[in-house]
Amino acid sequence: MPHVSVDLDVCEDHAQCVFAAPTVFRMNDDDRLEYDAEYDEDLRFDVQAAADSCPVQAIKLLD
Amino acid sequence: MTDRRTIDLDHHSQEYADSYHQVADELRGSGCPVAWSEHHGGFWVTPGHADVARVARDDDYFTQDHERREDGGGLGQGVQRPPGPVRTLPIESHSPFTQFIRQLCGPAFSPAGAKQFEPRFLEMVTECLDAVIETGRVDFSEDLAAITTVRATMELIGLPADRLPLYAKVSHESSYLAPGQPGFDEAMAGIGEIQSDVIGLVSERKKNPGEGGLIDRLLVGDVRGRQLSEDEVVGVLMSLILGGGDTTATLTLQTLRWLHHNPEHRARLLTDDAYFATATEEFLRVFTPNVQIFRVATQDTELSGQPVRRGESVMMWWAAANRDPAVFADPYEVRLDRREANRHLSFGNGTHRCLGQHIARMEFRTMVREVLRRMPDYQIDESAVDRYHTVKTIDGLMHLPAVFTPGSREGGRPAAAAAAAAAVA
Repeated sequence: MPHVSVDLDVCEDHAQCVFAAPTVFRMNDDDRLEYDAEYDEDLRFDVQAAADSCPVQAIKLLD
Repeated sequence: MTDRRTIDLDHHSQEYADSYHQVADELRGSGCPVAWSEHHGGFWVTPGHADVARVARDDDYFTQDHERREDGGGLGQGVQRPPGPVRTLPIESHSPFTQFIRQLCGPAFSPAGAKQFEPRFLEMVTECLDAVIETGRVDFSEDLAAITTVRATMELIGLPADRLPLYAKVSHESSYLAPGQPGFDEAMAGIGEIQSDVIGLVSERKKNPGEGGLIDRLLVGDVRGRQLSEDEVVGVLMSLILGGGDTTATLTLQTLRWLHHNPEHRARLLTDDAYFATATEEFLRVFTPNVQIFRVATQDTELSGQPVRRGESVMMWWAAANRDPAVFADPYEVRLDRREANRHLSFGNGTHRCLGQHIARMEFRTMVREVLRRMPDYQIDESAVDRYHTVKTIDGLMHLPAVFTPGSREGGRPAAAAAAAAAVA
């Protein structure tokens, strides 16, 4: 399965990714980002959209 | 041009406003969905979700930068056709500049920022509803949505509240008045007045910085050695003022209208947070407030097999993509519990995905729920509903009048809301 990585030192919890790829990225009860490093191949469109929309460009797609 | 199918589609026409979903479906069913319109300098039209999503996020092949020069050079024409009079940012820019501005805008636009602002927004809604609650009559547009959404943006920026009547009127009217229509010149003059305010405020804050609010961040922020000019900061603020009002107002109004015809959904939306959140995405999909904006190809490419040449414009038809049956089963059906990841494009896609989406959802939720709570039996007067005659960008409602069983005030200061309502009326 493909992988994604978020630099949580850079992340500012804008949550743009959460709505672009809701099954991969989510906000916890403290409004901080959590995510699954592995995702299904058919979610690539969503994960790419999440990476594109990140205001601080903290999301990297890895294969 | 023989290599292209042409279609008589003018997005500024009343005919388009009345039939754009039908036109999109006809294109989809024709087996040749990508067509060329000669209107407004010419542009490609495609109703497919895959095409629209790709154009929006493929920065290597498309741009929405606004770089048209007086000598006619420059490829980017911004997001409107014909191009708008001023460059708004970051929507009319290209990465990495786009990302730079988004980074500067900062935490106010995060879910935590929206949550922090929610109590203040609720006060604004309370004030508006208090002004009409004892009368049993409301116009959800001019008494509520057209005011609170603009007022919220003004406060986030730090603009004085006494200008609310002008801003609310101009923001609303500039969304639906097309060149040549009565009131258009006045609305454009109003935009000029707002821009003067903003230029004055930015210039003042440049000399006397505040306490780290949005304008200060934009003015002093330094990301990778680059700072915004005062003109660019004005461009960002203008885009927030003009983009943060009628979009959210339209979503709210179309939803309240739908809930008039489907009242059985009111109770659960009022009490079930998770259901409301899922339903919000479906309302965003079916009502798609921003119907279309444009990009231009920066290299030769193709869409669904149709060659597109460098310099040609493409309409990003959000509303059509959101009813693509290849992505949404029974796309005309409003299913508030639509469970599959709702890949609607109502906030755009790619580097320009709406920065204000969390604030928009918070404002929408607050307005709809306060109406459902305080006016639970409201009935829309359908005979007096007034829809925008054309769809410059937004498919909204000028008036959405309703009656309800009168209730009691809950606090707030009614004077400012009443003055703003009088200005929008």
